[in-house]
Amino acid sequence: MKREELLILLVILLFVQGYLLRNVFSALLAFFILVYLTYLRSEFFPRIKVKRIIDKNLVEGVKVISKLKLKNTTNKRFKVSIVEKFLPIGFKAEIPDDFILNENEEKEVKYHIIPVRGTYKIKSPIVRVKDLRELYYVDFISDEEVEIEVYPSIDKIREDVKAERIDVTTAKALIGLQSLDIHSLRKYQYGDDLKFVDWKATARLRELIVKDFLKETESDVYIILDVGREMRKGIKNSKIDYATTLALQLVYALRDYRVGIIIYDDFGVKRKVEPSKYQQIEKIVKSLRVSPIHLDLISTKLSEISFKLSKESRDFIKKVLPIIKGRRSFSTGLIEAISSIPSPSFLIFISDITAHTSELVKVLSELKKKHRILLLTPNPILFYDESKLDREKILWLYKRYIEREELIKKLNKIVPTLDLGPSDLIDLIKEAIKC
Amino acid sequence: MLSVILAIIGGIIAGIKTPLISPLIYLSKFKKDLFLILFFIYCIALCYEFKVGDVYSLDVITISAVLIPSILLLDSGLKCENLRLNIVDFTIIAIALLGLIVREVFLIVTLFAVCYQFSNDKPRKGIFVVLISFSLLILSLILCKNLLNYIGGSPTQVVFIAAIGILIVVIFWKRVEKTDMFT
Repeated sequence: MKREELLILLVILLFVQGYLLRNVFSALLAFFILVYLTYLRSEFFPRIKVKRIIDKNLVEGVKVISKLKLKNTTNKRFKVSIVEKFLPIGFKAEIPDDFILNENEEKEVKYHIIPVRGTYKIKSPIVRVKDLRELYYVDFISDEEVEIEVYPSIDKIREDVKAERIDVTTAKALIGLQSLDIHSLRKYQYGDDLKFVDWKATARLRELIVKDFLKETESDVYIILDVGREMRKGIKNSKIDYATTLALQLVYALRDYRVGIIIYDDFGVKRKVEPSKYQQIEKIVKSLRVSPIHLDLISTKLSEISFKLSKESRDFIKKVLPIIKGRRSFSTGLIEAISSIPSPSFLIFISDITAHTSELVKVLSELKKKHRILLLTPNPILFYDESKLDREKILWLYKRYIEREELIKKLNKIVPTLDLGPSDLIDLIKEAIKC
Repeated sequence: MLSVILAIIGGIIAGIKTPLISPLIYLSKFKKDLFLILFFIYCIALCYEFKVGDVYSLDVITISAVLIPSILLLDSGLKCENLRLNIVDFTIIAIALLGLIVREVFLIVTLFAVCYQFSNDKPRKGIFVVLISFSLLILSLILCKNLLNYIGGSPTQVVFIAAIGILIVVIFWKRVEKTDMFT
């Protein structure tokens, strides 16, 4: 029920009471209340100008100040509240309390927004202007849109990667950068593995001395990240959010090496950062602005629709579809991505293996002749929203799980493959590699 | 706060007890929805206690002493003003107390209180709405005196006042979004 409606009900009741009890005072009181309400309505005509000011480059999870410029163009006072209805999914806003906007006043309201990574166009919030009696309101919505880019947080990634660097054993397993031949002795530095301490030299020189090993050729490390549709589907926490975090953790852990990143989707290479040792994290963070696709917003029912096509039709569509989708040639994003890798390198693929399996198998088989490869694959089953599970879904997921297990075994024969869930980040990968 | 004191003085002038509960209703204004519900009950109770049989033989001062403070009570309860009284409020109360002796003074001071309370709104169109509404009611009651002024004619007078009320609503009603209760 609305507040004003209660007063209208009172007016009606008073008229009825006056009629039944033969009391003119009831009718007069009702009339006075009615005139009072009419007066309030006729005096309520707010006109407010709204403009949002926000930084265009934001960092995921870091509070950012959203400034809202409000201008009251009338000579009335109003009570104003802010409703952040148009923020993208995952964004949080610390909305300020209601405040009074005086006559012809220009006010700047500041409050915090906590963004999630991706590129978004955000609209201004709803500015709800109420009369001082709070019986009526008008919502002001500005059509103005601000395009913002939210990058992953480097600090958060540093925090997640508790180990300062990927240790030597893991690096050796990963990249094979170190031989067993001793190159020289040097003073112990924080972060050096204690097992490389030369105890004899330490005793002789009375300070901790460690062995430096001869290095093999330092190959470049490429992280090849799939941001195709399959990866961006938002089931619970989208795989792409996880994959980008993992990629950044890898970049941070391998920051002593020349690390590059190639980001590709179903249609081609989207972004590429050449391997380098300097300011790589910052460069890669900026390249990783990928938003998840929230299927909940479209419809989850779509997956239940199945089309059965004949083999001929499927072959035909396979040939025609790339052209319809706007690809430049028949080569997919994956092929385009790997074709740009020059010398023998260490490649870390982060991809959903169920998306383009046969193509991935072919590519990996071919690449392993020239490069060292590690395949990290987010398991979609582990990313499934538990709240949406029912008997049929569980059976379907189990079938998928069995098929996937087979596929992982097959892929493991070609390259080391790790099946990952949303909580498996770099520590687990390191442990897995050691084993 | 001013409206509560005026309501109590008005109650004393009219010889009714219901306005004595107005402080309780006023203090509930910090929960606006509760205030509206209590005001609803207050009005019903007030109309049970205070009865006027005929619009043409009514005592304008006595009726105004109850009616105007009731509207002031509604308005001050809905507004977010503080409980403190300023010098103007004290002056109005002091003069209103004189109204216990000279009733005409109370009518004048309540009308001044209305102007004072609504002056903060800087009303423009609203003034015309109020003036036209009351003028229309008074004029129609005068013009239709022959039709309405008869023994036992109070139900007809109530219907007539209701009809004028509806006419005003039809003329001046404006579409606005309304605030929900209990939000």
